[in-house]
Amino acid sequence: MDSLSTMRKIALLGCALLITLAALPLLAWAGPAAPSATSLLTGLKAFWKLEETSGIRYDIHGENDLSDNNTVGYAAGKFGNAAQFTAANVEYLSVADNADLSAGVDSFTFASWVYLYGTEAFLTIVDKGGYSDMGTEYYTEYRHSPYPLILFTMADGSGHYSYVMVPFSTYNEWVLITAWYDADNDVAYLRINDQTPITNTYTYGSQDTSEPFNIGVITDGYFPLDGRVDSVGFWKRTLTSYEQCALYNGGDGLDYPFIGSVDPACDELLPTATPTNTPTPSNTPTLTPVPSTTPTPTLTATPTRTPTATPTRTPTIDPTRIIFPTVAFEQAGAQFCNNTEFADPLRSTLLNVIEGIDSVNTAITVTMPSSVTITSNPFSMARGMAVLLSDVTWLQIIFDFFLFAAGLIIVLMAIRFIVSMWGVVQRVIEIIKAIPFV
Amino acid sequence: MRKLSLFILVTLLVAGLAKAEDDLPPELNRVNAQLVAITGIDDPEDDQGEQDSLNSAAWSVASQGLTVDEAQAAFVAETGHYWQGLPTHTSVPSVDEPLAPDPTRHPTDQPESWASVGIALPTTMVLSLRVDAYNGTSGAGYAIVAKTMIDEVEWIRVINIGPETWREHNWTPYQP
Repeated sequence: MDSLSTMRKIALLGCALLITLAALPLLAWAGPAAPSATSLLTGLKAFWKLEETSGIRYDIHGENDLSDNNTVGYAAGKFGNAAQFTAANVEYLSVADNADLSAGVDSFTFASWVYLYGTEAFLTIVDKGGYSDMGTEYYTEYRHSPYPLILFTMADGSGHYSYVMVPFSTYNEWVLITAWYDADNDVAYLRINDQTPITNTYTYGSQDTSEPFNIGVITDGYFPLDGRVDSVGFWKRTLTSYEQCALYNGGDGLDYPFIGSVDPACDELLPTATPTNTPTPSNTPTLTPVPSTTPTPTLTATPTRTPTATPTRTPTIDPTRIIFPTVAFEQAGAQFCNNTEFADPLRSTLLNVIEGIDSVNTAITVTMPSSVTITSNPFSMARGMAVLLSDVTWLQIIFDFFLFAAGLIIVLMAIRFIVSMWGVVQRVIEIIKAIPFV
Repeated sequence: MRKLSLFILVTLLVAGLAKAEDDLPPELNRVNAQLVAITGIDDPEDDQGEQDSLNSAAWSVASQGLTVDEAQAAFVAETGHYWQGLPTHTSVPSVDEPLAPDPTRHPTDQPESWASVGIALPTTMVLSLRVDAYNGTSGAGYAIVAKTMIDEVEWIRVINIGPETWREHNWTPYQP
């Protein structure tokens, strides 16, 4: 009986292991319908989640940890905690000048969630540089006069300024302030939440000084902030409309590393695979000879995001099977590839499966069938997930091994059963033989 | 002829450098004197250092309390962090128009004021002072921010004590 009990324990342990391993890919998979905006990691130079309750505020993406000046506090944020600034105490966060945060004549974007109390003052949100003519690089600030507004300023140090102003009257609630400079088109933008951005034509870029980067004050303590700031990001590029929409995310926001669900309304802003550098395919072929060296009008990129894609982001689920739309796999793949916690060789394998990522337009092309049917059997589903999630060969090997082990355990149990049954049969025979008249 | 040209060139260069040094308004000598007296910190690279020292002797007679330097040493020894000092004035004074400081000001999250840490501010000051206490990845320190008005232009100087040396800068006009 002892050996049978041990066998049962082994079998149970084997089953538990199998179930755990079967669940692994499901745990790793971030959900069936989690469209994300992980392209926001591209060109990101610094991101401060501002979760700390005191002291240094760490840059979760780059190396621009912010020094705490005069004990910046904390309060409830858009996501978790936010930095709480008290103007009367001249509280601010700062880091020394460096190339990451100096925009120069290049495109840049900074976005921050801000919670203002309606204080009648000039309040600095984000600043690089001093306040004088020669010092300003860029800053955003709230001004209560001549009318309440948010101001985004850039200066080139030679007397050229860009001022973009947006009337503002949203107090005691979180707003997303996004300011950016498009150096390619010489336009500065300022946007509150998902409102239409205000623009200003400006060709000079910003100067590059040795002044620090600050949150909550302009260098040397001018215009300290009364309010809260949360999740500040700085990119050395402009963000696409889709990425900005994803950051706002219907008011819910999208925090670093930008892998949460994105408001489906943003999908309309996803760029279709328009090849910018290739001739427009609308040009009908003419009879004039075309030089063979000119690009052909055929689209090299596979535009998987066609309008025929199902608009619902959630997969169809019924008790017997799960269907994963292509788009879900695209997003899942994107999350895997951009999640830094996934090390090689898994990451490399995933990258190989994805044909291409257009970081600017967030277009991800993946070779996948339009839909995949997986039975509800946990083993085959898990294995199917492993296969479908980008040829993860080592995962297959592990599953195969444990499936083999399970089979072996079952065979051993069957043999043990037969052996034990043979003993029973022998005992029955002995009993029958013991009957006097047999 | 060549030597004469060289001589003229060098003379012009020296004169130009001297002019550059003179670009700072002379009023700042008096402001620096009071700054040194109150803070106890003199910038060795400051060209006006000698003059500052001479002037600060006079200011020291008026100041019976601790300097900022001394007060910070005592405060950090007691609390483990540096003391923050709010601006001594609500409007920036000038040499021509000295203003009385408010030594009782203190941040909402720190009870100690200029007076309570033992810093005796002069009755009237030609500059306003603020002390920012910071804590960064390279360590803690503090920055003394001085402001004064000269000909209706605000001038600002920052003295850094601590690892973040990038904070320090000499008198700079603030021109919005």
